[in-house]
Amino acid sequence: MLQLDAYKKHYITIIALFAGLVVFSVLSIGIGPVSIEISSVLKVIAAKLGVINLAEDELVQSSAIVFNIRLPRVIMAILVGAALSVSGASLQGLFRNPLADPTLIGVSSGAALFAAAVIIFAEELNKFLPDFIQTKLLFIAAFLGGLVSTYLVYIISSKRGRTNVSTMLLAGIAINAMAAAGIGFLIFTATDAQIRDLTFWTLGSLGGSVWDTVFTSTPFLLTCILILPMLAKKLNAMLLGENEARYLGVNTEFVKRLVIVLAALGVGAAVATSGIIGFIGLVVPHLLRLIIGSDHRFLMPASILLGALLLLGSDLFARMAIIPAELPIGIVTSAIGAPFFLWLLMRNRAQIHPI
Amino acid sequence: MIRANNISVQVTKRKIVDQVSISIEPGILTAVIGKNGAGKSSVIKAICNDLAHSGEVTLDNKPIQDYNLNELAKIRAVVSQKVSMEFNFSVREMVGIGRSPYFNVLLTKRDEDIIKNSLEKADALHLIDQSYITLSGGEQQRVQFARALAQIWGRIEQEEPSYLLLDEPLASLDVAHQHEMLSFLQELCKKNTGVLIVIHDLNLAAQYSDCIHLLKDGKTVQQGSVEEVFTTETMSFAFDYPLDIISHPNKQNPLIIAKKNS
Repeated sequence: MLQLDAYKKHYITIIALFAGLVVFSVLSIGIGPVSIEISSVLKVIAAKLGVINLAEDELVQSSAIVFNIRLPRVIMAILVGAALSVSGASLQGLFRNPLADPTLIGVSSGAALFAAAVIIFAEELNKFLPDFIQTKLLFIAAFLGGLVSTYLVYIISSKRGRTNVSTMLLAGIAINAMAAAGIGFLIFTATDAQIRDLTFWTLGSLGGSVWDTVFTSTPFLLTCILILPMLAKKLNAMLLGENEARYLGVNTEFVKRLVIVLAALGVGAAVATSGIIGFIGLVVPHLLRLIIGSDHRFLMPASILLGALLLLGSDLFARMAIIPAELPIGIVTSAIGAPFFLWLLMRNRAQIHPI
Repeated sequence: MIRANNISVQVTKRKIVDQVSISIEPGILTAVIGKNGAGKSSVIKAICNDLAHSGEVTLDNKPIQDYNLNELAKIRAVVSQKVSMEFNFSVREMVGIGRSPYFNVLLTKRDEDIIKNSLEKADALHLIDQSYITLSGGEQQRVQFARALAQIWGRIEQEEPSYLLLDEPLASLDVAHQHEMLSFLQELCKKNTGVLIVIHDLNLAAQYSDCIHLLKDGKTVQQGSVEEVFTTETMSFAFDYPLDIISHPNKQNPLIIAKKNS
């Protein structure tokens, strides 16, 4: 029925990434300052799912570590990595440019600025707001911050469906600078405890991942992760230009708005849970384009999987590099991503290779 | 039938299209000719609703903007003058985008067959597994043509009315491919497709068109059959250059040559 041969590489890549993600998730639950055997990890998870019963005193300590510390953190890494990379892939499609990364163009720092403001003014704000919003306030603020900056960059750098790359990157620099100034200003007005929280935003960490964070952020992150890939076919058409996409039956205004809102939602929620984690949205889709090409129908699911895998790996490194302390994960991803970005720029300069 | 009634396009204070009426009829190959800046591309863009314009464009007497975009895409395909692509797509995927109105996620066997057939008609089947951005300008144009063909393939097959609007599809093609594409467009017309094509080579236009629409400064100078439009006075006026019309030694159509020989 389907042309399997032509897309064999695509399917193999996606299946391999999925298998890799499952295996690596289990492994990274086991690895940590206290090492837990794979069999114990699987037993604890199976017991929690009610598949098997553990004896009363069996694996009590392991169970606590796996379930209360490692599992929420691994889930968070998977969701944040997936949201960041699928947002990156779709923003790149929208801007018709492979350099549109949520951190570079200021989406993350816009979200961080708004989130920081919420941290500082939480007490004042909570006086006016109903309870059910208070718990979500950080997420809503980060989402709005991301939305404002994405929209700004888009209207500044795009005209009639054509994006000016240098304007896009410069607008990103300007927004990053404004956000940095804003956060710097907030730090001056902050208490010591708040300053520690703010430092966390700017460097990024998954250290705060507990079940509470998982439950609050999952709806935001999953919305972005599940809906963006549905736009794959339309994003493919939009790569030809907005007019061409309309000739092909795509409602371009609708797709544009949806991509901006969903990417802001995903990046905003990622920033709200784990601060600014850069370059995932740039590196992941890029590597995949080298392997399976740019067709969003395959690129987006593959980005979700590789993004999750890469962030899981980075978080493992961040946890294990300087035990008992932890590296902020944003430092790890930037250390990988920034040189990669430079390499891309040099490669683009040659202009012979397809991106 | 797609019909544009007295459309005008104004950019700042300049009218780049001025009261042009043009129709695209199934079975008819219409060529739009005129010198640079005459408004040829703008007319196509206005017909496609990409430029703000006054005057109405209808498809079968219904305003074209009232059609659902996806339904319209199954009836009408458009190839712009330049389609730029910064991303790495294979030719197969590129032509597959032309099937967008028909699939959700995966292409069916029928879609794949149509992709191959369209590429074959555009003499580009041998490029199917190549990367689109590594192709030459002429090859890219042929692939874009195949994409448009794949988009309305079903209706061509069923000989239901369909429309193909092409903005200078011949510009980068060699002489053999120019003639092949035009003969193929004539074949399409026999299958109930209406073709509107912007063309620079006047002799090609004369040889293959059923109807000529001659523009100058955004206005229609003359429209009608090749014989009606291709007169020494009309053409010299429209192109601001002394031109001579002679008859083709072997064929019926007129040939156009320059009067000056400097």
